[in-house]
Amino acid sequence: MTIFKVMLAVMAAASVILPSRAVAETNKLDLSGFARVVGGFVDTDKATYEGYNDKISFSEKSLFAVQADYNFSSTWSASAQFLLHTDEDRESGIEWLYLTYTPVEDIQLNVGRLRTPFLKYSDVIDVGFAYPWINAPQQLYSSYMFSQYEGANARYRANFEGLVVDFEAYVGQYKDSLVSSGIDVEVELDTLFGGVIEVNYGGLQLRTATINGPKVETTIEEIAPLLQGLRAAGFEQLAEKFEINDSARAFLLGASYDTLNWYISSEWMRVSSDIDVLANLESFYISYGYYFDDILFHLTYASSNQSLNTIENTIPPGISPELDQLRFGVDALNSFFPTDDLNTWTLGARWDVKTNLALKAELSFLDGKEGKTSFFDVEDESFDRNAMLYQLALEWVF
Amino acid sequence: MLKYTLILLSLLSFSPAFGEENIWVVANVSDSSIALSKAEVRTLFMNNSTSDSSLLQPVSLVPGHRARSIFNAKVIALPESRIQSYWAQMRFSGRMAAPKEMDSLQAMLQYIGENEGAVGYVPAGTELPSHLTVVYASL
Repeated sequence: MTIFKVMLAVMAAASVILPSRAVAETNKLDLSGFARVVGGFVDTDKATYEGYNDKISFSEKSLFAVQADYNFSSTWSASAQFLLHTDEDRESGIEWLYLTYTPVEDIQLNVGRLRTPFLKYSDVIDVGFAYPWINAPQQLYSSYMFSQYEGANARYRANFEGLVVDFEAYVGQYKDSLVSSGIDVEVELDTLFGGVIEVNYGGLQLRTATINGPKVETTIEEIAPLLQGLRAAGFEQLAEKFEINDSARAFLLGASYDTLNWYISSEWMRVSSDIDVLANLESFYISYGYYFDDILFHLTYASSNQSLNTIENTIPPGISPELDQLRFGVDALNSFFPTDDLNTWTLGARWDVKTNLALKAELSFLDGKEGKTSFFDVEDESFDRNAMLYQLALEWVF
Repeated sequence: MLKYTLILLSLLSFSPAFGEENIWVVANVSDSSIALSKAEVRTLFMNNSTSDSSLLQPVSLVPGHRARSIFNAKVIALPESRIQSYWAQMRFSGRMAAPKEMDSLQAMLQYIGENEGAVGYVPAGTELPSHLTVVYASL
């Protein structure tokens, strides 16, 4: 039985067992939610980016979510977040489901299905209202690993006369099906752990975070026949290199400064792993925003650099048609793994029409590297990896 | 072009800061010697946290209220839209909820008066019930 199922059982039991008098005094169901409608397109027909092609689409990022928070007592509560979205690569359903125990004001313990905290906005990436962009810098926000987990976390807050330090540690397990270049990839981790330290003083924030997966097990059914073929032909070592079954980790540093009229914010991230086919990735962004009354204008530069980890194709060519086919298969597999070098300039505006409603417009110049995937799904190899992405969004919280 | 027009329009309509007006942060506490620094008031209202063990509960006014705008400008030092997006982040990541919001100064004073540990803000010079203490005055 997974932790998730245990949670459901515990919550159901708790709602029955807790003394009714205590419940009557403190019970409180809070319903809230968020929604976003995002439309966009890229100015090329040779590749898609984030699902966008050259025809305007509203289905890549639009979503609707409801969150229910139920207080059993002053120290126990339960929360669930249900998400519906239109992106065909993501499943709708329960995104968060957890029990919270707050024994004292500065300590919080959660158990259940939780979002992995890593980047500044990674646990609210679906809540577009919470951040200035329409598309948070891809180089970091689509590349950090393991977006949710089933497990537990502990949060502790220390306050030194206005200087607030937040600590968070978590441990859990992760299982998900990802779609990469149209191929299903099953990823499973029995153990996932990490932590965040965040320092806030006035408008200054400093953050550091890590994620660790000691053993990342990945299954790609499409490549199983090729690996079998390699083994049968005696290329055991080569086949082994394509087995993804090793450790991966990520490390983050972030800083931001917010004032009444402007802000500056930056994050730097490194993802590294012992998995042969997964290249190490280093990426960062720096962003500046200025408020003209109710309208925020912001400019962001983001960049990612992926060190190449192509596996040497040791199969000699021209020996036999069968070997040539295997050789071709290995080349194809090598090119399947992403090489996401990309620089972007993003200019955006956000207008808070009401306190819970914002309109956003965003223009991104995507400057990839030829011969690499650069976060694109390339459909025509003559594509020079340069494109403009245009987006409009309506962000709502309730 | 539209963008430049917007920038120009917003510059023209830009209202001067609330230089003349100030707020008092008032609390219902038994120890009337309590004084908070600006940074402590900010963390109380933005992080729901205090450095000593006294449990203080922040209470706000609704967005758009003049005293709230002055408080945002002089103590929090963030625009209203940034404060709203911050609370959306805190709420939907399960960290904490924004302070209770009162519709009017009267409602705020009444709430603070009736709840020990409650802390709110009022325009400087507001006549206060005798059991409320000014714990911070903006400059």
